Amino acid sequence: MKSLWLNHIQNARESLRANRMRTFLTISGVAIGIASIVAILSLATGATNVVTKQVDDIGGNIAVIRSGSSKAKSVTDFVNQQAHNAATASTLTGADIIAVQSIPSVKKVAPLTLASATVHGESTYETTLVGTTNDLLTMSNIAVRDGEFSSDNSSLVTIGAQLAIYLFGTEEALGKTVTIKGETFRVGGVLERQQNPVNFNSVDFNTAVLLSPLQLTQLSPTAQIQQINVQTDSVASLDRTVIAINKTLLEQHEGEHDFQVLVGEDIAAPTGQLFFAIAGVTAAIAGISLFVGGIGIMNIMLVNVAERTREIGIRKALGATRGDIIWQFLIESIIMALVGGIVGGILGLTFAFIISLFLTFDPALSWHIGVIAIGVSGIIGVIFGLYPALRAAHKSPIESLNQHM
Amino acid sequence: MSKKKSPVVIKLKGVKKRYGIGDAEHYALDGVNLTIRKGEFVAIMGPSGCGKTTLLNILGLLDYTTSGEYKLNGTSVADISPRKQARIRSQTIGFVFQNFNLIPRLTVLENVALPLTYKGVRKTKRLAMASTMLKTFHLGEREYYMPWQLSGGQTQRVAIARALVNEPSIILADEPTGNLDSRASHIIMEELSDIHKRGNTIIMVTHNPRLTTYASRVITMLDGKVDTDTNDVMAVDDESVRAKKPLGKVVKSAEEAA
Repeated sequence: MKSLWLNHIQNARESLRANRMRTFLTISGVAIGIASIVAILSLATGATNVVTKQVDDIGGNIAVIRSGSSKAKSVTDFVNQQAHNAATASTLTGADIIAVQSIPSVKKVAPLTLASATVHGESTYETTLVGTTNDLLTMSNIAVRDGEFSSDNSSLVTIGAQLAIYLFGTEEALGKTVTIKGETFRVGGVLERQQNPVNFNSVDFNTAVLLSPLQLTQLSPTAQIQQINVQTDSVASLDRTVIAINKTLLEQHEGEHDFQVLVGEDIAAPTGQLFFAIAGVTAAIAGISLFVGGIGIMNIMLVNVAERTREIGIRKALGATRGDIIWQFLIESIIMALVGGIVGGILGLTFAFIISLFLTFDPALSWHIGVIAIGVSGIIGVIFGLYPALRAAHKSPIESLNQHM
Repeated sequence: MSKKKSPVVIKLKGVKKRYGIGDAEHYALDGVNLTIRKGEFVAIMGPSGCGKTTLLNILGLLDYTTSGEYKLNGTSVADISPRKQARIRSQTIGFVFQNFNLIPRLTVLENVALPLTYKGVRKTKRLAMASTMLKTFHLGEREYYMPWQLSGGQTQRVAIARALVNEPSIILADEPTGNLDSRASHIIMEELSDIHKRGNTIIMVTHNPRLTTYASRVITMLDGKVDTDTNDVMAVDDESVRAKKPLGKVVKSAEEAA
């Protein structure tokens, strides 16, 4: 049996080599599809890694409280959850913050209250208002470039570096006046430019306006607490604190578990999921090109079968079983698809690296992506090769022999 | 007769083969009864369109009967799975086609080695066996030629070598000397005759009455039926009016027909 396999492979190689141009075009069809999928996956994984790394950098003593009953399980759940600052009511309240603060092992608590508004400076920009305290900046390693972020002075706001450029054309915006929802504020601080707009707070601080929670509630009474960041006094006390937070909040919420306390990689998970949801949709679109590649394989295999009808008849007359004929053609299509997969994988990664030159993060190189590229292309080879192969195998020997090409 | 004692290899009973349907219906075989024993060299003759090739294809398991029974080595072919039929084609039957049917993109050697592939013989051994077979047909120096580089006689010898490389016990040859000159024809007939002497069963379709001298039994067909059979004891076709003709007359009538 082994020699038969070798024979099929040799056969396929010869046949593919005999039609170089045709084989090359078919392979490139698959390669393009695989390349786009690989590039997208690699970039999405890279983006997620950035968030995960951030959480790692911040240290092992951060916990995040988010609204919602459980971790998002599907893309739909997750999209709903992401939209909760606008659409669904957050279950977190100011009382929760005070309750969490009273836990002994909790060192710092920072709420993240979000609203959106149009900000008027010298020009106008629509952006996110973040109601929080100075602790959020220390916990997230965000530095203030000019001035300071004070949650006491109700006439000052702090703005992101990029927002300063949008509003005033310069990062030197300290002391300038901005108007938000009819109220006038002075810029009391400009944030250091952040290199990672992707972060676990799900806010781009480069374009955000930072105010105190009180200021924000006055401006926008519907603003909701998106998440509460908690820092414990030591890494060792984190697990204990998470349990304590859960207990305290459960009491606060009268036994209803409508919140989640996340640590470590789980904090990055929603962001990761967002990226994978976007990547998934994009990859599905890229999948269409892969599908077209697959159709190319089927097309060429049907031509191959038609061209070799007589050969199939001869082989059958000489003792080839249906299985032999099926494998002869299936192996040919699998080889084309696999070569396409490998070439596409390499092309995709190259492409991802080129794109990443213009982005703030590197694409991920992981064996998963390789497995996906090769696995998917193998499956494409089988799916689109099967019909032509079956068609070849089920030809009657005598009809095949009588066909004159 | 010693021949009667050898086992029956092929037994056809009322075999019909229909082509087309309705008004276009046409019976290529219209009730063929035939028994062939091991070691016979049967020549089948008859005018074009009398169903010789169809009969040979059915015997070689390349085509299927519309009705009637075909027993091969005692087993009804209808009961044999496609997979087993493929194995029989691979190991028991050697087929020499009218138009050679070599695979054009394979070399002579690879063509001859092809049946061994499906028997599961390893490549090196396969090529060695094919090479030996080609040498017995004096084609040793043509091994790496492509089929289109050979003369008609050489091509036919390659086709026969391919049919024999699996050492089949039944050889089916459809006009093996087709369009060859008489010298090439006789070389090929000598080969077939040799194979026959080694105890193999040969069934050959031919137009050339002179070649029937190599055969041990001559059957003529007419309109999808067995018309005459020199082995008149075996002739079960009692409808035939000429069933009891002696060999000489059969050959003569065949010559007239051709």
